[in-house]
Amino acid sequence: MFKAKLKAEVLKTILDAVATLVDEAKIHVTPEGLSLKAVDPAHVAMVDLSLGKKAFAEYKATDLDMGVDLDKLKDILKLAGSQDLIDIEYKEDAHKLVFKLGHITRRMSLVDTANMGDPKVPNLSLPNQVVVLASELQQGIKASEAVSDHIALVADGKAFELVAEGDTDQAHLRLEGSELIKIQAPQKSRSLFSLDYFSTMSKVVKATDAVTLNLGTDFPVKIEFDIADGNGHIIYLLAPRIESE
Amino acid sequence: MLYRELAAFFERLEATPGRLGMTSILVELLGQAKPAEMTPVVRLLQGAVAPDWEGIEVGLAEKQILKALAMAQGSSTKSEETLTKLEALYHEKGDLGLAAEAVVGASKGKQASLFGASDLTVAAAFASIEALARTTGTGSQEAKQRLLSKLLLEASPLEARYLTRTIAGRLRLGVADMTFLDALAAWRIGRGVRSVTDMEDAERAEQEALRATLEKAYDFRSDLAIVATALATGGPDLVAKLGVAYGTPVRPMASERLKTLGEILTKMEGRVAMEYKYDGLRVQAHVSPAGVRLFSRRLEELTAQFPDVVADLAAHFRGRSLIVEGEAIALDANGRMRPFQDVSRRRGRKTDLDAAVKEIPITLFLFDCLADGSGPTMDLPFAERRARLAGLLGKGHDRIRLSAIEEVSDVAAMEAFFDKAVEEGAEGIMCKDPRAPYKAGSRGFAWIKFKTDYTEALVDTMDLVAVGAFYGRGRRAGWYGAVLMAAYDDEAGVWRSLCKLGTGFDDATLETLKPRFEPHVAPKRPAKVDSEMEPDVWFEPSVVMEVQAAELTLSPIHRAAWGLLKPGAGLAARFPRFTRWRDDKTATQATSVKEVVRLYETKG
Repeated sequence: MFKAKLKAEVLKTILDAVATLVDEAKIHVTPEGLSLKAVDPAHVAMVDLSLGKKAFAEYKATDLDMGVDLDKLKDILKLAGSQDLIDIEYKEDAHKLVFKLGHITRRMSLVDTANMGDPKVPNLSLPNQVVVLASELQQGIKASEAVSDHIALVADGKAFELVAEGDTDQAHLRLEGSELIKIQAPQKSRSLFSLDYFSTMSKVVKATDAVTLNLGTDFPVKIEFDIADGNGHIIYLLAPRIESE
Repeated sequence: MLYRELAAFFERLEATPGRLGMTSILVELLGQAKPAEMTPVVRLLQGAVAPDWEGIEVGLAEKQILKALAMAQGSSTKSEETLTKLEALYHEKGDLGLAAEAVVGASKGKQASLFGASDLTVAAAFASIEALARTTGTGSQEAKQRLLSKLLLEASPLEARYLTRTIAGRLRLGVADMTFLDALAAWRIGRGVRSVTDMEDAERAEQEALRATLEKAYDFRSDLAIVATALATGGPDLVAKLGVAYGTPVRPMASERLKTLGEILTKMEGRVAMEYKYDGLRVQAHVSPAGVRLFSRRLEELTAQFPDVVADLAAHFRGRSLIVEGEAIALDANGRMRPFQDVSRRRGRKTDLDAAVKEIPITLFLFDCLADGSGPTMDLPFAERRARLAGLLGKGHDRIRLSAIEEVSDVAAMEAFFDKAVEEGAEGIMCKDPRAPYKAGSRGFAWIKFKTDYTEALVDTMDLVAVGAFYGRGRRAGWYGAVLMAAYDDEAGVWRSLCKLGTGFDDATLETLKPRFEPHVAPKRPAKVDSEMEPDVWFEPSVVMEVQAAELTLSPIHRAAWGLLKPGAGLAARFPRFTRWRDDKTATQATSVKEVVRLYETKG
């Protein structure tokens, strides 16, 4: 059983977080909330998302898995304004999700989850941690996009840097001390990442929220932030571009 | 078995031109594959996910492959600049596989996978490629590109080379089907690979018996994977039990040719069954409760293109199971045969098929019966098979008829039949030995064709394979001016040059030569091509063209039958002229070097 009511913008956040990586996702439903894990087909990035029942206006569920076609979900969301409330109910016998938005009822067939595996989350030990305001990060990415298709994330002692080096131009974001919410970087780390991925991930977080970056050298980055007013949480893992053997 | 290990075999196969050498490598490879891995191994060797006739192609577009390479090196797939650079790398290397190998092997700038390098198994590689080939619909190219990216991110450079080639639909290891069957036999017997001439009598007998069993099973099923799996799991006994299956194409029997009707009569020991040789499309029709399937002579499925023929067969043979062969012909309102082009216009059509069905209705002239409800009939003599066919057809049907046939025993009657055939619009006659069985997949003198152009002064037409091209000059600048043509040496599995073809093309054809050959361009002379002449562009042997030549002569340049008739000389076709495309033939179904030699010897 799954019956819930939530604001369209919360659903949209989830969709934005996942749809850039995969076309279909398996949502794990429990009495306490939703969660999902998905790896993009190229195995470069992974999302691990959870949304507690407090993120919903109403929520009632038992344990079940739902396979969702994200393109279809996108179409449904286009029918609602961001503050609109959407009713969602799982019809087990018909294997459908029924959405009610205002006077519209929209039934959506679910995808068979039999062939959808549960991705294993790689076990990473990342020495450095930086907590930064999302708007700062988004500003740095904006500057970088005009310059290169990848960025280096560097953490060293008290400073965090985001560096984009093109053939001719450079962009550089440097934050240190109180410009950061928190930094713990006992040893210098540097990894390079695809901007295509990094930029879409960083767009999901609200500008006024904090983002936690866990970093190593030539290691994946773990990007964490809250969604839905602290009632949900997203973890991204992004594999690096290796600079040298 | 790991894909890495398979890739190492691929690399060795690629570097080995000789059939015996290839066989040895294949035997070693078979020794490392578990029975359950036979299907993926065979398919991957063939660069396919299913037998040809299933029509499932891998072929990911070049643009998407370049995007996957961009991703593998950690660049944006949206950057035109990156894609342009990768395209330049591809052209420099001459091959997408080598470009992928360079990208994955680069010491700087490489996208990592979240999961690190994988120990990709042959089964997993096959499953991924199969999933990729079967992905269709909107956004499928994008999805395929990401699947390839994943494989590349987790691959070694050599794996990347072969994964990319396979996914581009351009693996082309040049392992002939017959070479693979040789290897299967040698692997099973386990005494290594030697030429049969070097074997003791008993060994040779064992090798040849097993080889024949394997080939027969292959001729029935047209799928090496089924044969290899049967051998690996149940030995020769299981292979021998592989009979024909309704819905699975049988490899067609092919004909020889002779210059005169007199020679044909002698060859057939005085008794000949003659049929019209219709200038149509040879069709193998399977009817069973599971439905009707049609296959071309190169075993492509034609079912979708001929819904009218399918409906006619389904209605006429309702409730029965049979495999028959016939020639699909378009007849005009007066019942005269329309040219081959009219039928071939029906092929490959996806849109306005309904209009084509009305405009060009097809009549099927049946000439053989390979299986009826009681089972295979191929071992029966031809006369008996024809009788069964007539029985099956019963009163007949407007658009399903028997081909015209007559059994005679003198040349005068043959001539009369030939004249009548030509008069009614046939391109000649087929002479068949009434006592001979249907030898699937083989060419022999049990069937001999005799065509109108044989009676002219010119040498017969040959179906040759394009292996290279020369840029045109003057009026033909910017086009290909001539094509290097080769005959197929079916013993060595090599195409040997026979002539440079520059006449017979009208401007419209000349214009289309370059785009037509584009997908077959090779970076250097393919190992399976034997030619002293250096064209401007090399092709993988693939496209078959019908060529008419004035005569065959000894040549110090061309390599067909080199040293066979005279030391230091091969055969060349003089004054060759393009007559038509033979898209219905594969490169291995082209005129063989043996046939060319026979034409040379019988030219009188």
